Amino acid sequence: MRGASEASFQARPQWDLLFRPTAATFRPTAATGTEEAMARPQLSIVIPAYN
Amino acid sequence: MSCVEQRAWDAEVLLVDDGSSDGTPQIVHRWMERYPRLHLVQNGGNRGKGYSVRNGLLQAAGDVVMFTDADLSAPMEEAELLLAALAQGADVAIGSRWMDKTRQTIHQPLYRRFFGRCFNRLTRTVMGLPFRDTQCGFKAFKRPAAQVIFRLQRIERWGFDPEILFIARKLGYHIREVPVTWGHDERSRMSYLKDGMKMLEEMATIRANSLAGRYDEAIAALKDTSAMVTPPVPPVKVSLSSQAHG
Repeated sequence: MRGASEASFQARPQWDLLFRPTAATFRPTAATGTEEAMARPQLSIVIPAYN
Repeated sequence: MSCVEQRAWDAEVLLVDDGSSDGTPQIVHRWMERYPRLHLVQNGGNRGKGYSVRNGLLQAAGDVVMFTDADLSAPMEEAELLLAALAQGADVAIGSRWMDKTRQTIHQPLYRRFFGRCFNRLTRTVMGLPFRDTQCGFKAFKRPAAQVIFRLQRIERWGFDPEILFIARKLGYHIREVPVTWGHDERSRMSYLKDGMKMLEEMATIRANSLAGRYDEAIAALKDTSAMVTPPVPPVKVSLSSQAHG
């Protein structure tokens, strides 16, 4: 069973692993746990429209 | 935005307007009515690509923040490759057009390739950067890394790419270069001669700043603020439960 569970863990999409189990480690301590932090998106995409 | 919706990403998009005179803000405001997670960030004048990226990334709220060129030369779907590199432990993931040339869908003209390779060779030598493509406008960062790196950034125009990589290496962040699909856009506004000379000047500025200890001073100052609560070396692992009770 242990082998099967490890295999399914490995098979999960890698960026799923990036956000969900460890998301709290990516956030500045001061903001974590607040409503503002909980509402944060997982990903921010910045598009510079520069001249 | 359609890519974000189709893939059901939990993502916001920040479009940074660098003092455009072509009605970009008005167009974005119309899109914002349809896409509530689209935001407009305005520089209040023409400040350059480096300033625009910095302004956007420091205002971004995501756990992971990334930037991509407005012409979407790298298809947005390729972001998953950068995210996978971050998931595997990198703090910074940078797209590369040169690691796998077969992924280039539309090739640059020969003269652009020549100047690009010369500039990259020079960058590697002068800045001590080991990457094959420092200029690719497709880079992703874990939030704490971005919050530190972009606060230390000083270059506001084209030369900001090698500077942020230089700073990231100086801080000991793990940087992964990732081959991405890329299609050259002929509408690129970059002048290889004029902007290339400016970039050389900016590289000299970065080295001079480093030799003068300006980055070290800024890093020391930043350590005294809440912006650097997660030291880059070694990484601090904080569990959600300890955060909630702390």
